[in-house]
Amino acid sequence: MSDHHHKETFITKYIFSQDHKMIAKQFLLTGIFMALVGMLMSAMFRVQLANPGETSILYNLMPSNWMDPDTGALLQDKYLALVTMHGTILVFWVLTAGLSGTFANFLIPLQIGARDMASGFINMLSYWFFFAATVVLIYSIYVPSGPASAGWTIYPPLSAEASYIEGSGLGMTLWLVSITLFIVGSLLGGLNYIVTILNLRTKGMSMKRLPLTIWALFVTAILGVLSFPVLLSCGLLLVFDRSFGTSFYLSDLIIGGEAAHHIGGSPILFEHLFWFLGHPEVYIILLPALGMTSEVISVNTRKPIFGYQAMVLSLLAIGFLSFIVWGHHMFMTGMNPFLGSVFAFTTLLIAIPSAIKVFNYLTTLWRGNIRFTPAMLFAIAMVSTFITGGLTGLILGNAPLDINVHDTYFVVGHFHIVMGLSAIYGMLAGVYHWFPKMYGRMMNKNLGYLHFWGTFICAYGVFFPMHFLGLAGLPRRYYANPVDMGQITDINDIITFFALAGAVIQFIFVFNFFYSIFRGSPASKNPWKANTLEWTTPVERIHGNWPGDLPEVHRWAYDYSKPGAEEDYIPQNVPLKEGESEH
Amino acid sequence: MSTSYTLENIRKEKATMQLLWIGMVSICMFFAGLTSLVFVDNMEIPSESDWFLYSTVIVLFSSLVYLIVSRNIKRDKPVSFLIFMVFILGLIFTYCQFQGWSDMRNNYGIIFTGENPETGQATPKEHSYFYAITVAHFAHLIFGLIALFITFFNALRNKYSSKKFLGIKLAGTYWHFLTILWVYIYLFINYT
Repeated sequence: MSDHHHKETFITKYIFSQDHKMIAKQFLLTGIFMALVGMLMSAMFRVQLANPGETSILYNLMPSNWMDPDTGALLQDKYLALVTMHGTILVFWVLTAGLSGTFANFLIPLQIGARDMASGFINMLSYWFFFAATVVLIYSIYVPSGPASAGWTIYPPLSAEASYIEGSGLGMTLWLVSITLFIVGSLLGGLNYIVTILNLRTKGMSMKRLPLTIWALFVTAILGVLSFPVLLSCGLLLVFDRSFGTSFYLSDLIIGGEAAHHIGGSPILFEHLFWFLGHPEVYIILLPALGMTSEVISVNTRKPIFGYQAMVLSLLAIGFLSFIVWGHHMFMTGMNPFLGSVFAFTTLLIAIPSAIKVFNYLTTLWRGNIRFTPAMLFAIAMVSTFITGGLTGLILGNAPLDINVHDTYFVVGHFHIVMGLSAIYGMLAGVYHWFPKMYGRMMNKNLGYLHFWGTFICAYGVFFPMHFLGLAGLPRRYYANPVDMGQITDINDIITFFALAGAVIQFIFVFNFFYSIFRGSPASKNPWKANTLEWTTPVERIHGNWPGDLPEVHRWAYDYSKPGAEEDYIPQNVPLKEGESEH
Repeated sequence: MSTSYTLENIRKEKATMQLLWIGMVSICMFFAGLTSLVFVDNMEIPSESDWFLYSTVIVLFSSLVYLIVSRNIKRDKPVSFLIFMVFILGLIFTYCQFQGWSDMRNNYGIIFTGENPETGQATPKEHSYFYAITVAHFAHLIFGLIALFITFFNALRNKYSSKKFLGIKLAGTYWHFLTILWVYIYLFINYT
């Protein structure tokens, strides 16, 4: 038995645990909770968009001062609060911490053959900073003036003065406190992930043999460590503007008929700093999903991943390029057109490594012996949305085209598909695939299929029509359609129908998840017949992962259907036979 | 058993040093974010007080003393007094910073926020920026002082030797980093 495995109390095992597997579960459960909160918020504002000015039973979930006392309709400023909090929760809490926090913690030590993270204590701190951030953010919803309402990008000037909009008071301050705690947690986690991958790989696990999941989580951690501090500096100056009256982002504006008591500041400064984090953040969200998709597709096609080296180089290229494209979020800020064309060029360059990844997914699928498990379906769906969302990205990356649809529902449709759905599908693929390793039981397959098809149809039903609304000129974040847009107005009804249906379907997943933790059929050690090291650990959780010595690695992770082999998979710890070439 | 124990320790030490290095890269990005504003907005940062020159000399001297600490510990020579000296130099640096801020406010009218009493105008962002970046450095320096104090305390209890001095390496690396960071900030605010 590993000397890491020791007697644990309830507190050290389930609450202040330093075991990476338990911390991963803590991230996952918090992520699922926040996903439900964010989803309910989206259901509320979709109801408002379909039935403007009418009441709904859903609004009762929020404090009573969110509704008009006479009509029971959602108030306009609270609509903005819902949109802001939905974006914040989904981008940071679900798709950053819920996704990376869960799978980096769970998979890094297991797939590289380590007992645990480099620092279990820092790992534990990382979760508890995240938890504290969650408590503060949830609390901000219930303050009398309401939560932050300036959009998830919290652009000044609206976010910089408490008097400018209703949601710029205490709620905005709490948003900044919460995001600061979140960043500290993310940085602690990221440092640990990088150091663990560089130092604690088991014997034989060279960088060239790392599973693509680990490569993706590695690049993600680097992006986080480099970009989150910039958001912190950006937020710090906003705190100074809000709390101490400085003028970093504020100028002599006239708002509400009154001249602001500031000189010389510029909200554009905020945008530069924000998007320097903001665009890498897209890939902080996407890369883990891409990495897990590689793993799930290879396992379930029973084929080696096509173009392993190209996949790794693509991850690195995407990571690098993500730092030099932030200006494409700012084409409308009066940017020099030449600079705009530079940002358009670098943005379109990202299409190359992205296309390489898509090509390699498709060629891996080609003529594979495909097993359509729920995880595999979500992985294929992830490839689908990465393509369809990526195509509209080509339009938005071009300054002359982007300007026409800037801040419309076209943008909302684009980023929800390419970033939101792709990452969520990758995350769900991961949950279905690694659930047996996490909890020692299997999830119900039929409920999984129902969940997949319901989600897939409803998600496209929500986000595909948004492109038409955007092309017709409907701006995002509006409480209701500003003008009668004829038949196009009805599209909002259709979108809301799919949004509500999609939300209901997620409860099938929630039921399946929690039911299977306690009542799912017991899992075998390696139910998917996969090659990576996590499937060589015992079903029972032990701190230290492997009883006895750590496994030794002799081959890459993708020896599926290797000619001459007895079975269609060869785990990484199986030595090469005499005369056998690696791959 | 002892060989694997030593290897495990070496690995752990390497990992701990890497944690610090990557953490310092993160801190660099934080300051890169702050300094990038100056270029984006063509700001001219005030830096009139001479106290900041004194603090620069002090912090450079403290780093030099710490180099002797690193050399001594490898030869099993005493280090506690030298670490204490670096700690005291850190406190003197802190004193100089406070004097500098006070000098800027009282003698040059450069304030962080509020109205200038003479002109009645709101504080320009360049003035606020000066305080933001120098105080941000000071906030990081507090952790450096804490690290030096702990290292000094451990050195007093003879916890370090030529074979085992990770704490000294960690505190020293961070202290040198803070020195370099301050020299960068000093040059930056003086030459932009």
